[in-house]
Amino acid sequence: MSASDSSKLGFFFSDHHRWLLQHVRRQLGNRADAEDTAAETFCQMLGARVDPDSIEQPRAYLSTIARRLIFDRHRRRRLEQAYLERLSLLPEALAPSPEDTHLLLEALHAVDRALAGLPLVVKKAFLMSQLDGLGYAEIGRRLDVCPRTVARYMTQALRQCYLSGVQP
Amino acid sequence: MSDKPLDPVAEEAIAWMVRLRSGMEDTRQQVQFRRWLEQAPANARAWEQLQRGLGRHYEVLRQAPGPLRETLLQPESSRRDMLRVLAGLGVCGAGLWFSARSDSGRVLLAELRTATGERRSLSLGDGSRLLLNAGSAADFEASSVRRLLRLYQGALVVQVAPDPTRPFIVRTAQGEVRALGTRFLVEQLADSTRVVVLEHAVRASVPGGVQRDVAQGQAALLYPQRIEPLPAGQAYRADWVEGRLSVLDESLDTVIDALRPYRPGFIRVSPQVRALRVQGVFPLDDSQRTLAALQDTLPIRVVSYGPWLTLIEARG
Repeated sequence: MSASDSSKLGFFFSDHHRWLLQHVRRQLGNRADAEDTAAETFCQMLGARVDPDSIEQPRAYLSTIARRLIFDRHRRRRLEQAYLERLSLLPEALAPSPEDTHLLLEALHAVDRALAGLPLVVKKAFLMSQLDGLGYAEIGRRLDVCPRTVARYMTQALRQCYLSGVQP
Repeated sequence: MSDKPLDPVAEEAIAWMVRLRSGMEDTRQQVQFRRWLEQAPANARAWEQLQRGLGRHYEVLRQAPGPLRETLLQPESSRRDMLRVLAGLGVCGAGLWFSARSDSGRVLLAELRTATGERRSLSLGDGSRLLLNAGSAADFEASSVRRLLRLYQGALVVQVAPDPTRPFIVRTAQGEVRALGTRFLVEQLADSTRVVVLEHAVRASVPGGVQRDVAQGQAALLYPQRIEPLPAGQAYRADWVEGRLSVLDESLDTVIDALRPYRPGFIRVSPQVRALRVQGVFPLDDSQRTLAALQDTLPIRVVSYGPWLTLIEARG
C-alpha cells in the first residue's frame, strides 16, 4: 500500500471512527466490544483494499460491515459457551489439549457459520453424512424420515456449503 | 437462503454430491458422474467450490469427541436474543468465557476499576493493600467469615493483612486462591488464571475439585478443570507494579496482550508475526516507545491509524 493510500485511510478513519463507535455501542451496550468491532470493521476495509474515495455512503457501508461482525461475534460467543458446557461434562481424559481446543473452536465456528439458519434436523442429517459417512437409509432411520427426505435435507445443506466455498 | 436454487451448474454439482452420498453403490452412476465432471470446465469449477465448502474444518471435527461436535446443534437464536446476549445480560451466571475482554456488564459495574494506562494502589477496608494493573476490574466484599476479592479482568497484586478468622479469597473465572497473610499476584488471562506467589503461600482451587498449594516463588495456571504448575522464577510477572514489562522469552502476541491495557484503541497483530519470540524490558507507561523498540529488534512494521488502531505486521 502506498503512503498516500494509507494516509487517505487514516483520514477516513478519523472522519468516521467516532460515529461508528457510537453506532456500534448502541447495539452492543459495552465499550470494549464496541471498540473491538469498530476497529475490526476498519481492518476488514484495509484487508479488502477498498479505496475510501470510492465509497459514496460511508456510514451505510461501515454499518453493514459492522452488523455482520456483530452477528458473527454473537454466534461465536454462543458457540463457545455451548462448547464449555459440553466440555465440563466430558471426562478429563477426553478433553482436547489447549492447541487442539483452539483448532477445534475455529473449525466449529466456521462450520456453524456455514450452516447458519438451517433447520436443526437438516444440520443433523448433513453432519451424519459429512462426519460419520452414513448412508441416507441409516440417517433416515435415525431421524425417523424417509431416505428421499434425507436427500432433500442434503441439498439444502450443500447449497450453503457451496456458498461458503467461495474462494477467499 | 438454502431453499433458493443457485445457478444451474452449482445445482448440478450439488445434485451429484447428493446422489453420490446416498450410500447406494452404483457403478453406472460413477461413470456418469465422471462424464459430467469432464464435460465442461465450469462443471469442474463448481465441483471444486463445493469441495472447498466441505473442506478442512470437517477434518478437524471428525477427530473431536461426539459431545463437542454437538455444539453445532444448538437452536438458532432470534435477533432479540442476540442483542440481549451481546449486551452482556443473561450471561453473567456462566462466568466462563474464552475472550479476555469478556463480560462487559460486570466489568463496567465493578467497584474497583482502572482505565487504560492507569495503575492504582488501594487499601482495602481490612488493612490489605491492593495494586491493580491498568485495564483491570474487581470487587471487594468483606463479611465476618471471609474476605472476597473478585477479579473480572486484568491483574492484581495483593498484600493480605493477616486475619486468622476470615480467610482472604481471590476469585476469577476459573477458580479461587485462598491466603492467610501473604503477597501474591492474580492475573485473569484469556482462558485461565495465573497465580504467582511472592511471599508465603496460597491454596488454589478450581470447581472440578482440584486443589494445589502454591508456595513462595512458585506459580501456577488455573483452568476450569485442572491446575498446572509453572516453572519457578515468575516473580517478574509482577514488574508492572513498577511500570515495567519484563519479557524473558515470550511470543509477540503475549507481549502485545500485556501492552493492551496501556494503549487506547485496538492493536491487531497479524498471524504471521504472532509467534515471533521477544526478550527484553519495556516501559509500560510509554507504549509508543515500547512499540518502536519492538520494531527495531524484530522483523515487524508498526502502523498506527490515529490513536485507535495499530497494526503490527511482517516487514517487507
